Amino acid sequence: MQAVKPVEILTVDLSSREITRDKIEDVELIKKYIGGRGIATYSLLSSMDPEVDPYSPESPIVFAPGVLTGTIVPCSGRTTVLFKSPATGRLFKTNVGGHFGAQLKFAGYDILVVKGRAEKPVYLYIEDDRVEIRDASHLWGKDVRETNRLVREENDDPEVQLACIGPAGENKVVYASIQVSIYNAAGRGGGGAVMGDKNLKAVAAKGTKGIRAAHPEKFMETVAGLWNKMNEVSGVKPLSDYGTSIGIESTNAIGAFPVKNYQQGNIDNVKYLTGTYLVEGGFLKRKISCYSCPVACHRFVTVDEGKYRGVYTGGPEYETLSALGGGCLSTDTAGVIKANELCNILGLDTISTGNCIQWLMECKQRGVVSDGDAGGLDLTWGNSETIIDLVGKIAHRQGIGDLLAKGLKAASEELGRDSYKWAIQARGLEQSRVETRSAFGYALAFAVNSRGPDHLNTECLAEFGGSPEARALIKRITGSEEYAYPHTTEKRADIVRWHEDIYGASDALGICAFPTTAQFWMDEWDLAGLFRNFTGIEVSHEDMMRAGRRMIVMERCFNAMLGHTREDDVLPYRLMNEIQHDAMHDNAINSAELLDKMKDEYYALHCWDIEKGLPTKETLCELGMGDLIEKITGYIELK
Amino acid sequence: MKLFMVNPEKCTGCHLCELACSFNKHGVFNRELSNIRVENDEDRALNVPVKCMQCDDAPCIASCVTRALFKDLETGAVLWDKDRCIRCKACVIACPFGCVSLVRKERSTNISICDLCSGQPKCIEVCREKAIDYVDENRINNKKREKTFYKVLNQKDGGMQNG
Repeated sequence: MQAVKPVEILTVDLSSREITRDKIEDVELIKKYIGGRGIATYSLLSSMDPEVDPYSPESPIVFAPGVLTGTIVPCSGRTTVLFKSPATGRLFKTNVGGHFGAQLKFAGYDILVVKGRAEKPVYLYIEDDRVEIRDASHLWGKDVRETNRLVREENDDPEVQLACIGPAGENKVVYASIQVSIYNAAGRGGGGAVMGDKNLKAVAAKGTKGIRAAHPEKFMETVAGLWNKMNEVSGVKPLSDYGTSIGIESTNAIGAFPVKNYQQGNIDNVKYLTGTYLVEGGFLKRKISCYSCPVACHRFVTVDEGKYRGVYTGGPEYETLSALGGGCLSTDTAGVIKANELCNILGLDTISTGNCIQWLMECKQRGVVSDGDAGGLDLTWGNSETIIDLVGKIAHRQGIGDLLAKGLKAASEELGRDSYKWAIQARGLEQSRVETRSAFGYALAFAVNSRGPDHLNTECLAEFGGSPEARALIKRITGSEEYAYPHTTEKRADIVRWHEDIYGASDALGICAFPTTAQFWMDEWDLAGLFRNFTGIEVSHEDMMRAGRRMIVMERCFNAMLGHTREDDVLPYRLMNEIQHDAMHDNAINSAELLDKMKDEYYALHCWDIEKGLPTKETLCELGMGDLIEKITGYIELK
Repeated sequence: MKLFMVNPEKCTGCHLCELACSFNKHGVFNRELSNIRVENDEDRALNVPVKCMQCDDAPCIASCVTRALFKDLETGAVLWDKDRCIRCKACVIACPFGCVSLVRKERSTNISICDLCSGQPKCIEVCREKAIDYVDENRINNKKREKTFYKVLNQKDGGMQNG
């Protein structure tokens, strides 16, 4: 058998304080699942009882940097975090940039599994072979900024990298984030709450070991080729200059910017929410890169005047400007930055936080909640101070914040009175800031996403045909550029599945989704070339895509074991039942009928059981995943 | 001669320069082995690339009793003669910037100083922001002068031109 670099797995049990190290050396297994997200998902699916409570010691949290993380490959600094979500009750994959993953790799670990629950607050310290569970009582209650400062200080090492939680995670807000490198967030799904439940304040990593490629020269040639492509495509410069919020003005212009809790498709004075304004208004001070990223789309902003003078933070991203700005009918740039800073340092997902605040404001609009119910806060649309107050109240579970901290699904059930109709969530996850009524590929992608309705398992931006590269990709997938048009159900299944596949492969390699699914300068051939020259394992571009597909199939199987079927592949009530009249096309709605048509096509394309929306035994065998059938059929029947 | 220029305001902290250096010198991706290091304060998002300044009056050279360190006359880089060196490490102590480092290789200890890759620094090739650059010393002020020129022109002609 071919000798390859094994996948090094570090497992820490916080209950027994046991620390174990394992290796995966099976080349076939590595070829099938690549590494990172792929191998982490495989090991959870094959070893974990899916029915365990997310808040139980048996429910692990896994940190899995990509195969290429820590290398010179551009945009390769990303880390997958896997856990069972307290928000959705399902398997949840989050993915985060920053510098933590690279340090974990330099310390010699590909995957870190944390199980159990510590009796008292602890943090995990990893420096090469030294792995220690340390007391964190002095860090408990501290915000993310302070936690980073203290851990670096006590180790006398400014280079140690943290993945940590803030007060929101300690208080188990179901959308508490894990903050990496202070301003990067594994935000969605409540990983922060899972860490909080484990009494795990932080994982600190520092490594001094090097990483070697199997074929160094060829590897560097592949990397050089990618630099050339990066310099040629149209999308990299604007992203680098103006950040992820570069597209807000055009999204607003076509009535596809979710405003006022998805009641409107656009907002007046949108310019104050754009990346251009962050530059021109003097907020942007520096650009920030994740590890090994030459693009630097992340922002560092400060507010230098007005009532929020002195505020500074990483961000705000597109999602944040929408969730805490436009979505709440606010265009107060400084106010959004202040709310963003609080989310970062208190450890909250900005998307869910914003959606919850919008829901509450609409509750007032519809007379279901009064200002008095909110402890005297003025819940009028667009009130920046209220938004900022609520962020703090959610993190600390104070007053009405305690209701919002449960997430929209639980909060709307508790409040009742039709409030589910404007709770923009499905399967327990608040929808990310995409107006799926104007983008049917996104609608399908969000409906079938194992996480819930969001863009981070499948970003199918290409369907808008916004760049020559996007149109070329759509042509490659569907055979015609005509399908680079988002108001049709035609070919959406093909587009979504392609994106899911490459997203999985990118995640497993640690590569950001922007090069593969937004600026289009890395394709499946590039990914295969990088993997081949790095590991020495022969793979084709098709192997990479099939590996990505296996991740989707595994997530679906995990959730199916908990009862998930096609009935659960839905979108929030409003999007399925109310037309968005600001859209550029008629009948802008994600009706059940529309979704059903696309779902049928999507399941069929996957060769799944269309009736249940689940993989069949045959699909699993065809993908070489027959070994998982026994485990899965212990819970549910497969066709 | 060319000068190695560092502009921390432009550095985004991607650390690619470190990886390019360690790969070029040692065939491995390891910032610990890099001759350029990016120091950072994450909270304020400040990143500062630090490397050998190629001092004219180099304290490291002055500290070397065996003359194992000397100047490359073409590039101005400080070079190291491993046969003359007795590994006393005086140069490590002498460098005010912390840019002379020790690299353990198998059983030997090596002194590591940026040698400007014999006039073609690998690190600058991966700096998309040009936070580090290698420029002809006669041209280092050209861009700044040009900028000043357009600033004046803009003031005089009301923004007809942009620099």
